[in-house]
Amino acid sequence: MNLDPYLPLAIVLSSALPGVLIFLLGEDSYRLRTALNMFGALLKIVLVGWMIWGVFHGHVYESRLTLMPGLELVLSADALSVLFVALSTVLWLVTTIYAIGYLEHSPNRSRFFGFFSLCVSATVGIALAGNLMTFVVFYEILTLATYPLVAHRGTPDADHGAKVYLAYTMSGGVLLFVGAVWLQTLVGQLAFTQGGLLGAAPEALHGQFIVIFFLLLAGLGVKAALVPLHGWLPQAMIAPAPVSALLHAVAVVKAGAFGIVRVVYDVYGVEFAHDLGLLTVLGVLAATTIIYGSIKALSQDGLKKRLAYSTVSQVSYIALGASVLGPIATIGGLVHLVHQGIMKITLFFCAGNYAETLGVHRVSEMNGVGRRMPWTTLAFTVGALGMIGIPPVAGFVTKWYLGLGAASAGAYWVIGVLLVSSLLNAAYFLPILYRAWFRPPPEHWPKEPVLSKRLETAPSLLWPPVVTALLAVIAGLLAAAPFSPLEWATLIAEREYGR
Amino acid sequence: MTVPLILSWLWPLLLAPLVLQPRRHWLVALAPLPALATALWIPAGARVELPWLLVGATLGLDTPGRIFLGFTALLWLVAAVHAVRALRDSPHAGRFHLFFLLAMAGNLWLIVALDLASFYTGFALMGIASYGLVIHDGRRESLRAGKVYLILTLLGESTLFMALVLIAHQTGSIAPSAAALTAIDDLAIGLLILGLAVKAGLMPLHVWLPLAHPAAPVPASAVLSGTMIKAALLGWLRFLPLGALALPHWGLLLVLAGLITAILAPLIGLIQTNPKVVLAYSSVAKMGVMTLALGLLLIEPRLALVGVPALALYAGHHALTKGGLFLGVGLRHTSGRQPMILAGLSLLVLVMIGAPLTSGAITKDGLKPILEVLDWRWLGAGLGLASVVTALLMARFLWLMWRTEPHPEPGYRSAGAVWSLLIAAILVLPPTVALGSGAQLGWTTNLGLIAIALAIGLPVLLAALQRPGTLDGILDRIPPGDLLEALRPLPPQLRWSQRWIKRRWANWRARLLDPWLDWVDLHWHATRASTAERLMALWLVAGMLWIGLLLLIGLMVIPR
Repeated sequence: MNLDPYLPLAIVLSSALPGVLIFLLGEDSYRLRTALNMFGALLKIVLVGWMIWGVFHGHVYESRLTLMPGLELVLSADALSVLFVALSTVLWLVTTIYAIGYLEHSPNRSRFFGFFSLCVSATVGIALAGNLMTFVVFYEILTLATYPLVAHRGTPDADHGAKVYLAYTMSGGVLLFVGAVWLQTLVGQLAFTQGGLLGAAPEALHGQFIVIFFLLLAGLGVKAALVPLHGWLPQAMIAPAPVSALLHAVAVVKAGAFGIVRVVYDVYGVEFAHDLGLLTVLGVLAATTIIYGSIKALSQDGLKKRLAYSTVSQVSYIALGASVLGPIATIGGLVHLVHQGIMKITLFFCAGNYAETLGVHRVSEMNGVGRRMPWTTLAFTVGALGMIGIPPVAGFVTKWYLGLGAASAGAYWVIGVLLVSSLLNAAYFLPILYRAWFRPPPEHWPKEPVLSKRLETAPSLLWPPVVTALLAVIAGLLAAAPFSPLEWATLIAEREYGR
Repeated sequence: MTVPLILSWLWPLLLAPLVLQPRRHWLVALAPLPALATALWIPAGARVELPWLLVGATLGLDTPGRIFLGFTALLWLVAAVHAVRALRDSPHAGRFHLFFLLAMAGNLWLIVALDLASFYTGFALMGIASYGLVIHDGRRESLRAGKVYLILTLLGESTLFMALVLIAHQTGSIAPSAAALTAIDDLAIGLLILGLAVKAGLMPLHVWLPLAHPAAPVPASAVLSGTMIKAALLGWLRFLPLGALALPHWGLLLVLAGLITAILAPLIGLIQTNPKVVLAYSSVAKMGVMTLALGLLLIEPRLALVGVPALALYAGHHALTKGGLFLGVGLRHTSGRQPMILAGLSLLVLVMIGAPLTSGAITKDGLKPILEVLDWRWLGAGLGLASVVTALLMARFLWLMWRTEPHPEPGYRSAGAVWSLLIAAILVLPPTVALGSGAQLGWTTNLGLIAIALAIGLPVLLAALQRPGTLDGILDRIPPGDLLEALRPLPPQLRWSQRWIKRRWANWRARLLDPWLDWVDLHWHATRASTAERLMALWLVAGMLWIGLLLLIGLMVIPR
């Protein structure tokens, strides 16, 4: 029997089914819940590994469900979706382990892990969506699945943050939906096609295409936190650390950025979008966001808030890469999808560790944490240096390709933006590192529960950031090795530009 | 061949986590050995491609690279032996050794890197890790020096990054050959010169150097001033189109900047009282001379074949001698055998000012064809002046050392022994190499200039001996970091004017807008109450703006 058509569906269900089952479990069935979580995560990794191998060798995986004529739900795998699926899957596994340790004694764990799994299923659905409508469906599911996670703590702050989050994302979803429907009425089914599908449309429609692009961009830009639509992100910081980590590295923010990439490359086609002048607008928006986010991050004392503004800035590297015409910049943007994910998740894990182990929430309280928690701080250092773009951490590879791509396209201003952004990143990350490593620690930490006898913190909190930091270094140091994120992004770019 | 080239920089990295333990500090001294062996046994011209490393790396040794690797590894070795003892009783010695090894790895990596990205990796690793060395003792001045160092380093590295990206684009290769480098344009060349000028300490970008080099502990100053600033020179030698293209404008710029640096820096150094600051200014001056020679190579490309190795050898001479001088400052404070130390320091000073038969004279003789290729009289005069002031500066250094009060501590025997070996190498190696290659005996070149310096220096010396205190008035008149001090009042003034503008703006805004805002507020509160709703309304405004914007754009483009 040929199992290929079921593979994408199986990948989505491998987290959705455990999620549903977890809802049914009681609060105390810790072992069963953990087993379900781990089973789902590991199964997904195996399935994704299979899919990577297949896509590399040119296999086609497609699951199709016709709702009505002209409206189909399609899950299919191309090189781009595999990149995002692989990222979500690996980081989901790591985050699940982290979350199990993080929420050990807090209430409502079943609810939390249920929605956590649904959230990842939605992300994978977004990654595997084969047409714009499927994308929109999973995009909305993602919004709904993350709301309970943001509101999880149930404090007034959490309620408020979640409410703002919902207001922003739902409105964005509406705009996206309107844009998608409008486009579908003009050109019919919108299957994602490498090289784009609108280029062949009659010229009379071009004006409408431009308006639709802005609608789509507004819808996607809310999740991708493009300025001025980023307001929800720093407020959603109130969520528990694993949620923030997943939100910033994989699920929500990345879904928006991934959507922008999809729309530019596989709906409009990058050359067509360039001809319409849309890339310039996207580039200016992305550049503004990059600079603005970094400037805001400078003045934040809350560690997670500073990281949140850093996300606002860094995710727009992806959009910036998409806005420059040419395969090299495309590689730079796409590879940052992965690089930003592993670096930022490391930083959030570390922030969570400081909060759980020492009660440290603010940058000004971080004096000497390096001596108390060397491994966590080492991971944090790797993440921070990567964000600045210092080799050999992964961020450097992104910056190199974005810069090279911009030079090839003659867009020298993009290199200037990268430069300013790196300096700003240095200005808000290096003081943290200085405090952590060189300042003497205080007499007493705000709170210090005993989480482990031998290690600096509970093992399930310690290993995830260490592992992801290691991944960030490997992704940079061995960037050109086979099956690295960079090589995969190169493969995508080759296929997008038809070479 | 691949293994030694990788091990040269990987070995210090592998040792780095181990040296955090006090009983394993001695491992630091093993770290430069693979690099030293590589420099000795791998021939120049070796080249391996490592397509999996970074974005596709090429490691290897070219002729200047081999020379650089040799002197760099040697100096790191001597400094490491010194560091093991000198840091033994200091708090956070493990941290120091960690940063020491990271900086070492970066320095060695950039030398064996023939491609742009690996070079940048080594350069950045070295630059960032050295911050830990500069601020090691945690004093106020050190922290300030570290801040200045880090800011300038980051600015320099960003500029360098931009230059390297442009070079990669314009040559179409990540490891461009000399012929391919002719394709790079003025922007790339300018950025490359500017980005590396920070590390080289070219005036006016030298301000970090007299602050940072003295702030670091002795072994760190030795490598900072000896080998790390030479990385800039290597970068220029590798990535400028030397020998393939004449760039008279850029060449002239470098010649002028180098000459000014070489004359001004020693003059400022003369009135310093801290011997390490004096040495730092001397380093700035010598980098000026090297930059000047590089500029001449850009003007006269046909000399590149002779000039590049000669310049690399000159860099090596300066690196070892300057490293030896810095370590000597440390030993003068702590060693138990003071007469030996003073004798060694005097020898090194003689080498530095280019006394006959020393490496100073020999390597300068090697540069002669470059320095005299152009018949510019002002250049000859300027170089002569630079030599004279450098000689005076070294005399000043010796004077300061003479007056230093030693506080001998036990256990410096191995550091002293390695230091003597270094001096022996400095004295013996260059003459043998020069004789072996059948060089002409033109080593008395500097004699006339040294005589002039003596003629100027003796009266000053006599004055200082006869009437101590007469010259005190001019000492430390210009603090270390000269230009930076001139800028010191700027930040408070900026802050003040910013506050002033803010206040003014607030006043004006209040006067103009408040009546309106009151009106809006009144009507607002009449209809809406909760903060959540108000935020929602804000979001509504943002959304409306967005939609309005795109409608506007739509209206503009639809008729087309």
